[in-house]
Amino acid sequence: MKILVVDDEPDVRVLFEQRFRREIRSGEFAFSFAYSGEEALGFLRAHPSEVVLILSDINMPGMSGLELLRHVKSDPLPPPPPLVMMLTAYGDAATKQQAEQLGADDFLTKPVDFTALRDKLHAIENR
Amino acid sequence: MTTFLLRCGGGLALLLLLGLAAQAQPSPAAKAQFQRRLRAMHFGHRFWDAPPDSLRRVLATQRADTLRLQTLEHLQALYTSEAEDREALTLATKLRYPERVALRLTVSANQLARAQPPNLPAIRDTLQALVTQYDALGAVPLVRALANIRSVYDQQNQPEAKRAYFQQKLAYYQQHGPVENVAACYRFLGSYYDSRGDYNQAISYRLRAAELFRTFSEAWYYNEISVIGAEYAEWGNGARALPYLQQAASWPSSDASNERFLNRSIASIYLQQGRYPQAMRYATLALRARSPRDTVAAYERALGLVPLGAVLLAQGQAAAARPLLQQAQRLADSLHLPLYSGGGNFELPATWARYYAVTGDYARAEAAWLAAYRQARLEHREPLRLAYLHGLAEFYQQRGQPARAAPYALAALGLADTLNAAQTATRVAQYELAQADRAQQARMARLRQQQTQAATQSRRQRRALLWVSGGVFVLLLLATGAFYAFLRSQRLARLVTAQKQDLQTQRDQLDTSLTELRQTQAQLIQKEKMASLGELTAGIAHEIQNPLNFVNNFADVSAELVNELHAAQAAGDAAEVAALAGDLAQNLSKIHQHGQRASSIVRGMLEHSRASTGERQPVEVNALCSEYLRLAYHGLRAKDKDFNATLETDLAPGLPPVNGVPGDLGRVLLNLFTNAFYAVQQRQLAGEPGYVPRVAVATQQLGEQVEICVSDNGTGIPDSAKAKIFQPFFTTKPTGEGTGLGLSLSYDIITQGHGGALTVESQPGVGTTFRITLPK
Repeated sequence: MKILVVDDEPDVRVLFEQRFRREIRSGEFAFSFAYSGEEALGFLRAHPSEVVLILSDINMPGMSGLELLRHVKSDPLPPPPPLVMMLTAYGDAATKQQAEQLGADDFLTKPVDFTALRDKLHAIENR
Repeated sequence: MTTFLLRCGGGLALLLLLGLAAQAQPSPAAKAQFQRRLRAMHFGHRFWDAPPDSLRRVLATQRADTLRLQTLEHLQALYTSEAEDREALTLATKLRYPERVALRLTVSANQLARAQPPNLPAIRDTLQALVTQYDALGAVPLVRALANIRSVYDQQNQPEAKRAYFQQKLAYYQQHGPVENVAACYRFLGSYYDSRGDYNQAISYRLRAAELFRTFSEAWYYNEISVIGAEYAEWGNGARALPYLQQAASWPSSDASNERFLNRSIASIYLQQGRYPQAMRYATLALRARSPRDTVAAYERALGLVPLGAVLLAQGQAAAARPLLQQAQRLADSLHLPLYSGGGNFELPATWARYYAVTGDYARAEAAWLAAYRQARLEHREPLRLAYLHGLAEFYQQRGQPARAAPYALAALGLADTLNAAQTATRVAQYELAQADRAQQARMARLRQQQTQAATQSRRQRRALLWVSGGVFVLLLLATGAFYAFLRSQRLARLVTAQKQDLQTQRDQLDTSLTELRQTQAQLIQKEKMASLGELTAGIAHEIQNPLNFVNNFADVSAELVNELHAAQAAGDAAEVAALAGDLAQNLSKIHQHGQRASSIVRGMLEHSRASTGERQPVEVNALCSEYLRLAYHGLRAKDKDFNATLETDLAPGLPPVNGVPGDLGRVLLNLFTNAFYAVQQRQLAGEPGYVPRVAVATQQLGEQVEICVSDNGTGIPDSAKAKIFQPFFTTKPTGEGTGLGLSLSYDIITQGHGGALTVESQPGVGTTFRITLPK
């Protein structure tokens, strides 16, 4: 299962690669990383129909995670449409509601609980 | 020849001693033992305000070496004779206490000081070596040793070296303690600025010293308060000086001659203010012995006679003033008194000039003015020189000689400008001075209130007596009635006095309003600082959360990796073990890196909130720009989550560091960024289709200068407002949202604090660019 992680902090890559070490080694998950909303959109266009799930931070300079979500849900991308899970440090009700209205499939607050995230990813894979 | 050899020998011995001292680092055990004894000494009011005589009485009864040494070391903190220093050394050597090295240096400093002429560099080296020795042992209060070092610097006439030394020691003691040494460093830095005539900085430092002294010694606290009063007086700010001087004079344990000094200063201020009865009262007090055992020294008599004579003269009693001035002159001639000494100003020549002018002896008046001026110039007393230039100009003007008055008037203008320029250079420091001063005044007011309460209580006890006195008073009133007819003839004279008093009351009211205005200004400035701190807090919380998440996450994942590593080791998989160890090492460096990131943010926040010390240091402009851009952005984002903007940074690589105050420059940048975000937000709220908010910061090197450009594509500034934006209290924000001081403070910080420039270009509906240029 291919997962695209979008966050402006570069160290997120090292962290994910170690946290999902076993899954990556067994070929269960494959992670790609983008460091801005714009880069993520470019990646999706360059790798059509590959990404199953997008994990995106909301608060990024330039295109925010919410804008990326709007693009993913409304732009004509090749099928199947990827699932989008939003991650944010501002876990307030208003932001959550806005993300849901834009069609987010899930909403997680930072700091990320990796055990819970792993369970969610396995659930999606076995769906 | 013999002397020469002896000197050489002495020098060599000293070199050896200093060399040994430098090598002799105390062992950890010796240090622990010393610190245990240090803790037992309980430095506090009882320690520092102990009378040396009572300590000597205790010493006379002590036989045990350890006890005697402890008392001697207590005495050393206050005052010791050479014999006492030698005994302390003998005892410490016998007991093999680690401070014996420092005590040996104390004794050799004493010996060096006795030589004629004294070898000042050697004395200073020795004293500084002994301070270093004690510092290595622990946080030892060294106020006396530091005071001796200061006085050697003063005798050597090396003010810059003195400043450098005490600034370095201040930084050290601020980190390692003790507070006594911090206070001493503040005091000596104050004396440096005092000698330069920079009263602004001098008083700032002394207020800080007083604040610390207050916590452990009454004597030093009141001493500092009286110096602050004296400096305000010299600065020409009598109204500010009075509360300090009066508070210091009212301290019951003050030294008698210091009390006379304070009374002289108070008398001179009242004289300047034209409040003659008060001036008279204090001038008389300044000449009085406090008790039968107390004697007024000849120089104090000379210094005290002048204000008394001047008051009489000002009240039109020249004949009564004459014998006082003559007496002062006789004393001055035999003592060779300068215009200014530790006892304050001695304005005899100028007072003679006024006396001769009043009595019509103009030739002598002119000669006396010229002599006064020459003397002030010779002694580099700028405030007196200015006063005498005014005196000369006025004298010639009144004599109908405008041509001779003109050059003195011009010289006075020039000197006043120079003095003012020196003061405005430190205007930013002045804000802080005003705040510290206000806090100190409030504290003194509370002290006075306590004294008043005590007085009320004793009054109550005397009430019965007062009733009797009241009866006597009624009788007196009846007698007064009988004299009424006689007094009527003097009504006219009283009317004039009443008018005079009215004028004085009006002047006092003006003074009060001015003081209140200054206070309000200081409060507003504080408010502006707090407002910008509020803007920062939300941004900082977000900025710190991110690195902390990384620290936690990398720590967690490392724990997992360690388990896997154990498993791989048990399975004998060497390649996996190596890979896991590599990952662990990487994680540790990530944890460290993100921890550093968090602490640098906290440091930045502290720098912003701390009262600026005005200390310059090399500043990396690019790092400062990107840090504050992020902080301002996240600060706004935390308040308004819908807000988003494109941030552009174009930072010139290899920019040289700028010599500046990082906290102050950060405040300016934060202010400019916050304004830029506000402007783009306003334009976005207007609902323009296709509008993308953009805030940019760019840096570049322009010859010997560094330029920072903060630009936005916000609402822009209309031409009508452009001229006013750097004025204090000008704001376009709705009432309550801005103090209107942000840009004006920024402007002061850049132009006056850093010798740079802050300019603005703006087009309404297009955007705004602020340009800072700073010299390298």
